[in-house]
Amino acid sequence: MQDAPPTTDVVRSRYWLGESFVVETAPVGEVLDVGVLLLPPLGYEDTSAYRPLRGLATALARAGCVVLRLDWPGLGDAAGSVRDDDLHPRRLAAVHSATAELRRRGVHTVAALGVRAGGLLAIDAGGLDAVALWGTPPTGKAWLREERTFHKLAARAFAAPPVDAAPLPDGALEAGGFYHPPGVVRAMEGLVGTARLGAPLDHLRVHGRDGSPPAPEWVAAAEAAGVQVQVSTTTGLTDVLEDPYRSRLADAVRDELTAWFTARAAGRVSLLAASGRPALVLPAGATERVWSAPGGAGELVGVVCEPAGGAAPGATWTVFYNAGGVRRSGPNRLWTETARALAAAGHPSLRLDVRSVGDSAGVDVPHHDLEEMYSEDSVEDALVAWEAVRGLGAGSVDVVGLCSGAFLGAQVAARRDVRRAVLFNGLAFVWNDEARAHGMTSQIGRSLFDARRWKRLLTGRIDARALARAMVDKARLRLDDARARLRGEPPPDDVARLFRQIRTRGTEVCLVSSAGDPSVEYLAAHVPEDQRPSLTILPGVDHTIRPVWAHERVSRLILAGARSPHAR
Amino acid sequence: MRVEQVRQIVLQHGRLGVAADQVTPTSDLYAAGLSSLTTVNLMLALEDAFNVEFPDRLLSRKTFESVQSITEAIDELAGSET
Repeated sequence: MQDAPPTTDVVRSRYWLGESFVVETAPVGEVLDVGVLLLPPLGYEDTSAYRPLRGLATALARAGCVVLRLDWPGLGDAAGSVRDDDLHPRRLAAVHSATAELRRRGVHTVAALGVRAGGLLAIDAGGLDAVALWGTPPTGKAWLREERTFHKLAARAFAAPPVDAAPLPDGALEAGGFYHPPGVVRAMEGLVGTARLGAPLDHLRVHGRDGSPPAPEWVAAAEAAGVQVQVSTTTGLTDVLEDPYRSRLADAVRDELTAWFTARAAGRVSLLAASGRPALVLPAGATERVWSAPGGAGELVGVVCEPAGGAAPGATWTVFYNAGGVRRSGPNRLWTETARALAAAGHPSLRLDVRSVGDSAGVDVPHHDLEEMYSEDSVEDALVAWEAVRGLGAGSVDVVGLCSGAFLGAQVAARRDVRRAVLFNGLAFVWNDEARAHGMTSQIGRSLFDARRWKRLLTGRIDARALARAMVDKARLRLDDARARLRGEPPPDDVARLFRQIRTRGTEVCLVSSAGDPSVEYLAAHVPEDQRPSLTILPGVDHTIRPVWAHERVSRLILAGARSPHAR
Repeated sequence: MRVEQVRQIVLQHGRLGVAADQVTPTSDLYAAGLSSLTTVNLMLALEDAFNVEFPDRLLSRKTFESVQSITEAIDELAGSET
């Protein structure tokens, strides 16, 4: 599905409502009198589902609905920390606020799509007229079991936490790099969704999880509660949840949901203005606000986080780049949490989505390869963010990125004044024939965070399709190289040269790699030891900085850099 | 045979990156592309199909690493085929 072109048929606005961060998508003019809340799953699944739900919001808006996409408190750009023990009632309050807001603005019917745990939260909150559940188990207990299983299956790669790492509190649950505090676990343990159906809910739609039919408990409970129920066996949930880089919404699911939601409408209304706030006030007076700027593919979106009283003139700003397909809140929400810690210490920042990621314009189709993420177009987007913070008064700029974000950070540091570049698990700092021929283009998107696959690719197994593509693309790469030379920029074809260039500009480069990550091998293969920037190894941590005990260490590294007196 | 039933469920729900005829009872399913998320799907599908519930002690990569290891787990939970 193509993303909304820059026309006037659909309007997006972004604000904070209660504790939630909300992206509103609506048609121009009158809307159907059914408003839709898109309630994402929690944790890793939320990371993957973000872009597909953006596509669904666009489709629903084009069909006439006003749509509010929510970030749950403790996730994304919403208020709160994922470690806050009282997140469950705050998440229910987020549903209440959004429901009340749509009714206040003139919508007669408020409907919601709840994906996985998002469906349980929708049902637990109540107050909705119609709910579509997608892959939502009938109880919180069943959901917790699936989360535990997911983590146990992924955890093999993780070493035991170091002795000085703070253990998780009793009753907390870690899953996929995210953390569910004991209060959330307790609330979900006791949540029986099927016992919560009732007025004003009058329509329920149930989509199963791929591989399992919709839980019959939902149907039985709906019928017993006098709620009209529809069941869909259309698959596609795994496509939405498995991988943030390749996640996609199946056309059939999009069309079914659009038809079901629009069927709830009885007429059209003019919407009153939204009452959301343009900024979020954080503890100790720091603030966040949405930033946007025109980019080559349309609107670029990010979030500015400033200390209380605003950024001091001449301050050092940190720019966080999205990691692969993971939006600006960063892997495991690390960028949001670290940006807020930076603001509390007096340091402003901007976290950016490059094109086709998060909320920035681009395409909603799955990425078939990494070409776009490692393209000059993405570097241009990254440079727009650098220019933006300079325009906001930055005296100097630090950049932070992981994976493709590390590539962007390095490329920006080679072309603009950057005080410090903190680059995590960079698997390619230069996008050239070699990177392409190693199969990154065709393979990485299939399992962006699968370090074993990267290792195989980087140690010599060359994918035939990627190699063929490399042959085709070689001419274009040379052309890009020539264009870069014409612009007076370093041709992006040599890693060692790139780092020499960065060093010449006076940038302090801090490379950070997870032990065993292919980024270590890549660096050793490309940069002579005596020219290599400082490299910190994180033992027992995977490519996306899991498990959660490692998060504090990463935040500390970034914070220490922001405080360092290094002068260019 | 149960092993063939399990194999069919793996092929249907595992989203493997290899052709069906390359999936033998002893093939390494993770090397063939099985992910943590699809393993959860697979587990639920197996539970539905065989009317069993995997206990915590069996929720590991070792259990799901091959059609053979899955079948052994199902045999243990549901009783061996006669």
